[in-house]
Order: sequence, then C-alpha cells, then structure tokens
Amino acid sequence: MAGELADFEDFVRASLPGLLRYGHALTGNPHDAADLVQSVLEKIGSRWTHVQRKTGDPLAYIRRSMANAHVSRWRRLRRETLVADLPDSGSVTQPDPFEHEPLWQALRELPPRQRAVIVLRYYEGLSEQEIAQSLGISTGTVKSQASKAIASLRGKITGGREVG
Amino acid sequence: MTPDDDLDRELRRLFGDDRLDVSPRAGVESDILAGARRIRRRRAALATTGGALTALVLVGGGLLLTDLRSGPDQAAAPATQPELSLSSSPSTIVPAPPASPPPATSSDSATPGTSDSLASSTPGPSTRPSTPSTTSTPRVESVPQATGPVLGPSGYGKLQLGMSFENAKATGLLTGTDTAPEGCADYRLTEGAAALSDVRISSTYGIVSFEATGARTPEKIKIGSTEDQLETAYPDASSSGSGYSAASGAGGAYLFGVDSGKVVSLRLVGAGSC
Repeated sequence: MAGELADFEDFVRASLPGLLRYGHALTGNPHDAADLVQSVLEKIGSRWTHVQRKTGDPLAYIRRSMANAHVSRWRRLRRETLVADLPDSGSVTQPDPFEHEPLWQALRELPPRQRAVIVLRYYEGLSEQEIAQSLGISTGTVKSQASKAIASLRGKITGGREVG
Repeated sequence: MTPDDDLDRELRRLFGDDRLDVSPRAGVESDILAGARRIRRRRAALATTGGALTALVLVGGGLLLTDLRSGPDQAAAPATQPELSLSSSPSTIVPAPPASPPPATSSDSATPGTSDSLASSTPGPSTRPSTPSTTSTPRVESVPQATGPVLGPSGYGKLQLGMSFENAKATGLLTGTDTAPEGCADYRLTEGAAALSDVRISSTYGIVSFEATGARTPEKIKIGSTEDQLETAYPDASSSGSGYSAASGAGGAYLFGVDSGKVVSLRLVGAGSC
C-alpha cells in the first residue's frame, strides 16, 4: 500500500497543474477548480490500484469524474441557493483574470452541462461520441447541448460587441 | 470567415490562455495523499461492519468528530463564510477552525492564480464526505417524478429518515402500524412494493432505513443500474463491503450492493441503527 500511494503521489505531482487548469476551465474560477480537483483526487487515490487497473487511462477517468462532479455539484448548489436566498455573485469576490473577456463571462453564464460539453470539445478536443461517453449522455444530447451553448455564446459576444 | 469559425478560434484561444493556470499551493500533494488514506482507512473500517451500522459510523462518526473539533463556534461558521458555502460541494465543505482569523479576509486577499480553496482545507476529519447541516435541505420536491418513484436523499415522499413511528403512522402510508416497533420493525407501504419493499423503524431513532425495489435515487440509479452508471452518477462514492456508499446529501447515505457489475440492492440509511 505504501508503494502504491508513492506511485499516486508522483502521479498527483505530475498531473496537478494540468488538472487545476482543466478545473478552472470547467468551473470558471480557480477556487472551485482547486476544491474540485482535491475532492476528486482524494477519492481516486483511495482506490488507486482499482482505477489504474480498470481504466487504463487514469487521467481521462479523473477528468470525466471532474466533469460529472461539477455538473452534479452545480445542481445541488442551485437548489440550496434558491432555498437559502443567497446572492448569486457571492462566490466571486476577488478580481477575475478574465474580467474583460466577454467570451469568458458568457461561458460562465452557461448551464454547467453545456459548459462541460464546450470544455470537453474545445479544451480536451474530444469528439461528440467521446463527450457522450464521458458525461453519460447520448450523442444527441451532446449535439443539442453544444448547439444551444454555441448559439448562446454567439448571441452574447456579438450582442455585446456590435449590432447584429 | 464565418462567425462559427471566429467563435471556434476564440474558444481555442481562450482555453489556451496562460491565465487559466492555477498554481497549486505548496504541500497540497501531501494533503491529497492524506485525504486518500483517510478515505481508505474509513472504507476498511466500514468493510468489517454491515448495513445500517455502516451509515452509523459514517454519519455519526463524522458528526462526533465535528463536535469535538469545532465546539459552539461551528454553527456560526457557514454564516461567516458565504463564499465557502457557495463554492464548495457538500462533500468538501470545511468548517472554519474556531481560532482562525476571519475567513473572509483570507479569501478576499487571495490573488488570482493561487488556490485558497486548497489552502483552506485542514487535515483531519473536516474533509469527510458526510454532509454538514447547512446542506441538509430536502430536495425531493425538485426532482422530476416522470421516470418512476424516487427515493430522495432524506426519504420517500412524506416518510423521512428520523421520523418517529407515530408520525410515520400518521402519514397513512404504512401498513401494519397497529403494532409499534419494539427495538426495530419493518413496515410495508400501503401503495404496494413497487417502489420500496419496506421501511425500517426504530423505537429510539424513528425511521432508520428504506429498502428500495423499483425506486431510483434522484441521480437515476436503481436496482439493475450498471456499476459504471453508479460510478458516473456518484463519483464520490466509496467502496463499502461488496458495494458502495454515497452520502445522499441530506445527512443520510445510499448503500448500493453490487454484484457482477450491477446494482442488486439499494438502501437509504440515516444516522440511527437497530
């Protein structure tokens, strides 16, 4: 077990920067990214042998877990926010490095499943088929979520920049 | 150049931007390792116990540790940390240690590119995957019912974990309630056994568990779901005995029995035991 976790530690050290970056793209802010990466990696590490044996590609498996955890986390948070009547922007208190990027702001406003589809497509470079498998949804849903997302992004950035 | 191409190019540029980089806090690797060991130890402990007792350890143990650590200040922590309660999942909310400086200050002064979510985590029981009371809002209402009966995070319809026998009886949803439980007893639903086979009620703890037949969780896992579907729906689930245990998000836990890659049993358990 000690040897196995030493192996996991090496893996974490090597993959952490990439996962945090991916988490940032996925969640829209560095704090949620760090939180998401840590919670998913702790789970993965606790069954490291199993994950390696079963998946063959732990990194892909971890990114899939992060996408799913982010989507389901958002569902929970939205319910709680509605119930508790908390301000929407309460979690964004420090300067956003992408504050002046209309596209980043528009991405932020996408529902997380749409955002996950965009990130998997443009950040990860996955095919529709691979995205469907990653998120456990049909390719039809991937197509429709992607086209909704693209339409909404296009509407927001062109609407903010120029007239039609 | 069509607008589509523009947007494609913009998205690729944005996702290639250096400002997406998040520097890991020093020492975070060892924290993650410690977290992994903690989860593994807990699972090893759980594997030697069974069923409802598992959840008692999971939930009861977590609450006890929290009480010991945080004392009376704990109740105030979520209110002084709106940022954490918004940006953290139930599985990782970290109550502020009572002696720490005001958390809002440390969050506000964090520079972009550092990760104070990681920095704010403490070793010890605070990252356990049981659910703090701030997140125990029942969420049965917002779950679509169209695809079959739902065994929600805190119960089934009006029947809720921890509800006393008398209150459960008063719902009229249970049969055989002429006899109150001595210790524990199982009761069936008047509607039949399509969703649940029985509801276990303790004379001390009230409703302690629900055994599903056809009911699914809000995340759409039911008997017959594949292990892959289960892992996808509950990436935070930990192995437990021959199956998995996942915090339901309302202080309870779903216990999934798995055999040959399929979910063969589904139970929602609370903190009480028999």
